[in-house]
Amino acid sequence: MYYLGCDIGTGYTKGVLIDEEGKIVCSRIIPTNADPRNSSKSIIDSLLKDAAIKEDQIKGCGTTGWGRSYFPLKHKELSIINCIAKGASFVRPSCRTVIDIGAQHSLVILIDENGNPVEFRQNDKCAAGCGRFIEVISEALQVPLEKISDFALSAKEKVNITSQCAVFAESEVITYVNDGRPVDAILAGVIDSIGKSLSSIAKRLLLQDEILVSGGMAKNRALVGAVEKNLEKKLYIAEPDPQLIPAIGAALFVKEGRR
Amino acid sequence: MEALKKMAPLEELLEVKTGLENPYVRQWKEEGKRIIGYICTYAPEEIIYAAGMLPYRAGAQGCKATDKADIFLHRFNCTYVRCLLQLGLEGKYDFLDGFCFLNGCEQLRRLYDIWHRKVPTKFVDMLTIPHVISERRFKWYLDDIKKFVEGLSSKFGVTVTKEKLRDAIKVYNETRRLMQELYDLRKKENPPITGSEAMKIAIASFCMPKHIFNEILRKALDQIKEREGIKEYRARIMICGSYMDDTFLIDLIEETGGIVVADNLCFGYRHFEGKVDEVGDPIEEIARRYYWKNPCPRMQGEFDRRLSETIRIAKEAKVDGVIFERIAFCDNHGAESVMEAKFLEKEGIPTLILEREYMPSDRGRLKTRIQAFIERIERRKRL
Amino acid sequence: MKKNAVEWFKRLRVTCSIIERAIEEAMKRGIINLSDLDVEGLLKDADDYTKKVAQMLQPSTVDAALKPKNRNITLAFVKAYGEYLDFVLDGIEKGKKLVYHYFESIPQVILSMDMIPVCVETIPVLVAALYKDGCEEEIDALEAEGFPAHLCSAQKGFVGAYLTEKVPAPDYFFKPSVPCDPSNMLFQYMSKITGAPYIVFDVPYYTNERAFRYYKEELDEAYRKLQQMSGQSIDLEKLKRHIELTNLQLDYIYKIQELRKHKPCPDPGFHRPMDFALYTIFGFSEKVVEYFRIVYEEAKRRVEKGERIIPEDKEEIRTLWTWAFQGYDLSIYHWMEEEHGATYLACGLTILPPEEIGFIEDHDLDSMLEGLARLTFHYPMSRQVTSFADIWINDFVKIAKSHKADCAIFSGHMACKHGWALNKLLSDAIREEAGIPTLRFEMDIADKRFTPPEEVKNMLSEFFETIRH
Repeated sequence: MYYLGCDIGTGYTKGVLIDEEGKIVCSRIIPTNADPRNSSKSIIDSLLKDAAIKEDQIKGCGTTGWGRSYFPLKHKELSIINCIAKGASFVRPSCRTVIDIGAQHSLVILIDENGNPVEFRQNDKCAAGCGRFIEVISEALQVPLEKISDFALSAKEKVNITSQCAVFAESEVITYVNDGRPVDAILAGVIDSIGKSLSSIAKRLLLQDEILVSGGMAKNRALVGAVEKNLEKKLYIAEPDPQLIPAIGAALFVKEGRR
Repeated sequence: MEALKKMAPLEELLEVKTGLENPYVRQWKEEGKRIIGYICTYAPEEIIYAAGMLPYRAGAQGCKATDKADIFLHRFNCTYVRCLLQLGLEGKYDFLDGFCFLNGCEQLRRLYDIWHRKVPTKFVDMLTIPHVISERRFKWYLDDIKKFVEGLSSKFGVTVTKEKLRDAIKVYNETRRLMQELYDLRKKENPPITGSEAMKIAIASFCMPKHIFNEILRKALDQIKEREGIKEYRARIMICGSYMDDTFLIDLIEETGGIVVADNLCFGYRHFEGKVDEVGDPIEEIARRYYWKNPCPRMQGEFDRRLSETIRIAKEAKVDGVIFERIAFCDNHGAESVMEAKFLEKEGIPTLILEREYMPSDRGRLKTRIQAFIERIERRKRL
Repeated sequence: MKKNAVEWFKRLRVTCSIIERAIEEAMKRGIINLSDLDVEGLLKDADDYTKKVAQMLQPSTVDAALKPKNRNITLAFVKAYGEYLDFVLDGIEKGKKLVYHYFESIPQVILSMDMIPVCVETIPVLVAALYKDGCEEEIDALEAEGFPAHLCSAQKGFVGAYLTEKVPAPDYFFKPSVPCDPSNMLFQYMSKITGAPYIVFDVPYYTNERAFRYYKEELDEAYRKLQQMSGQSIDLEKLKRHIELTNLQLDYIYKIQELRKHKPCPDPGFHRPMDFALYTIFGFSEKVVEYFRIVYEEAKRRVEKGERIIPEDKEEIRTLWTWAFQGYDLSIYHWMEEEHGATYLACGLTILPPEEIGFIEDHDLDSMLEGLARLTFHYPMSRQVTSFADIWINDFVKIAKSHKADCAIFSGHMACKHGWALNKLLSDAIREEAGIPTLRFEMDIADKRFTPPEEVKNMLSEFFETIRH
């Protein structure tokens, strides 16, 4: 028997399949493309295929994220914060803080030794410190998202981005480009700025070691480095894939049959 | 202490640095003397000066980010306050021996609550001033100032004598007189000094002992009077607003062909106008001048007085237009600028309202708006 | 002065009648859901204006009002507030002097001078709570004048209503010089454009006895000025009557606050904004006292009979709102109870500390003025916000402990910059001393566009789910 966890975000839909022992059997990440019904259906089909199993072998499905109600099969809808806490605690039982950096949200969650969330803080209504900020800049500079980290890390200097607003920062970036500043320096400045915003959000809570980073943006090594520098603490990137943490948590919840 | 630099006086004032990079501040500290920071024009500087300490108006120049401050403050708080807290948390204000906060505005008064908990300044005090100006309420402010004097005295073991107070009053009145002279020169049809230069001189006054500033300014005024007046400009501008301790905005205006010939800023005119009566009880006379001077928008029921002051200054300096600047999320200037602008337009004076952040930024957008405003003024002149 | 611009007052008056009829009908027929009520049939003989207003109402608010735990209280509210609005409309019609005041300057003295007091802040919040479109048009009208959006919607809405001729110009403005810059600026603007004098009394920065003496003198002087300017004086007998009602009202309020300590909390959250509205007409009438009596009796009955305001199968989550409520979707407080078992213990806009205020002595004018001064000095929000952060922090830590809160909610109004400036100090202290977490989010008290109701519910849901583990 298997359990399926699906995290339907505005950017990406993530799915995992775990077995009775709680081992991750397979996983998938695909763009949501503004169609959560289809993307979650696609996830189900892919996971079944990858695991070479049939639908009736899935004992339960747990969903979370913005689009959690669009999941086509019978499912349990779960809070994203609970799922992040659960998933983080599972992949790294020694962690007591999770910083989740998604496309539209940044969350900091303090968790106890049982993986229960104790308190959390979220970004306010703005993209500062979120993935969307980087996406806007990536488009403005015509640098693909996956290359941003490498560019930023290779820079010998960095520009100063003063705007916390993604829209105003975009104009700052364009001004720098027109002034002839190198792209890697600009990206290093952008990463630095996001790192500072994220740290600011994080420090609203009293951070406890160990600190785990999850979410799609956790794959950006330059960004994680910038946050580490600002927090002056060691950060661990969630494995196997930081973007899967909420989905893992969702699958674990249905396995435990809780609520 | 004497003028340190071998530079020409005017040049020295124009080059002034803030914080410990300022040679006077550094030397003051090296001599083992104390520096008390303050944040509002209602703080009675003469008192601090008479206590043998340097009153230092705490700006936040050089602040690059507000991540530390934003742990406590929020995006709804004005960036000046956030930057100031940031510098405090970064240790940049460790050279202060004390800090005098005031309940000037909503945002600044909360800084006291955070600062005394999170920044290790030795002596942190809150001076409170009524929101309404009248003889009856004056006593509250006077009593609070007396408490402040006691606080300074007991914390640092100093005595603030009547004599020292009278000396301080003389020095500060002289500063006011000299600044007024400078501002009068700006009103000329061909001003011998740009708005940017005048602002720099005003900023310099906050970063050095006033008696030295007076000495340098006296000589600088002689230099200025020798200069040829500026003839090339497209519009005479008055700038109104609140906290501004750099020339970023004024530079933008003057780059675009405007010349800033007058202001009603709390770092400018509102800070040095009026004078302390040199007869009578010194503490009371000091308090009186501060309490009754041209009020900040946070003072209730004084709108008409402020408006007529703005109009008077604008007419005296023969300005072509008034630019109101305000920091985003500032409620007082946010509303005041709109209100004053409405009535100025009715008087036939063109106005522009610019919202900005404390840190210099957003050049393109601001310049475009200033450009359009100056063009509007030119069109109007042609009619 | 445009005395016929009374649309808002008229609309609210008609709304009170509509809700009164709807609740009475629902009670008669045993209906508890709006969808089961034939509103059209109920109003078929009503005039066109009434029918139009009925269309404007927020269905979720009316639906929540019909629920058994909310309806008696809501009925008492619309009766009390409806009577007050009649008094206002009647007074304006008769040419009586109209005084617009801030919510912490309560109206007993103004009433005793035979003038009509109207609290500026109550009206936009009620409009936002009751109607689908809230006071959005009015806020936009004020912002179109160039005023920044970050001013407070409680005044923006009202000044905008004046600009769009939905409230008339008053004869006087009456306001303390605190608690915030936005309210100060917009009162002054409105005074300037209406030409009505602005009577302001200063509130000092401390809460000790020196400060109280200064404050009392200020308030006395303000009342003297009002009498002088209007030529009308305080009728001592009238004032005594309003003070008597004030004391009765205070008695119930203190008792209700005590009852909320009970587990589970026996007092529903839907009506707290109504409490706030009736505080602003403190001591106005017997119907106002009656409202608080009903709130008290219902809570008392629940404690005695073991009745719950949350479903049997839900474990209680006791919430403490450390700023205040959002005023644009009251059904959320009902939803919170039903969906999550989350009860509303207290909030910054409705707490009154009995140990600081007590009751008002009525043996002479001065004792009455002193008692009123003490009441307003420690008024909700005013007491916490006017001076040092310590008061706000200590007051809420105290309630968190005395009422055994499970969590705190800082529903931060976007115009309260001073509040946001202390939010971390507050949530840290609550965490350290009461051991509970805080949810903090941004909202605009009278404008649902800033943080729409669905968004608020999502955030609350996420938060409650993390508590319940």
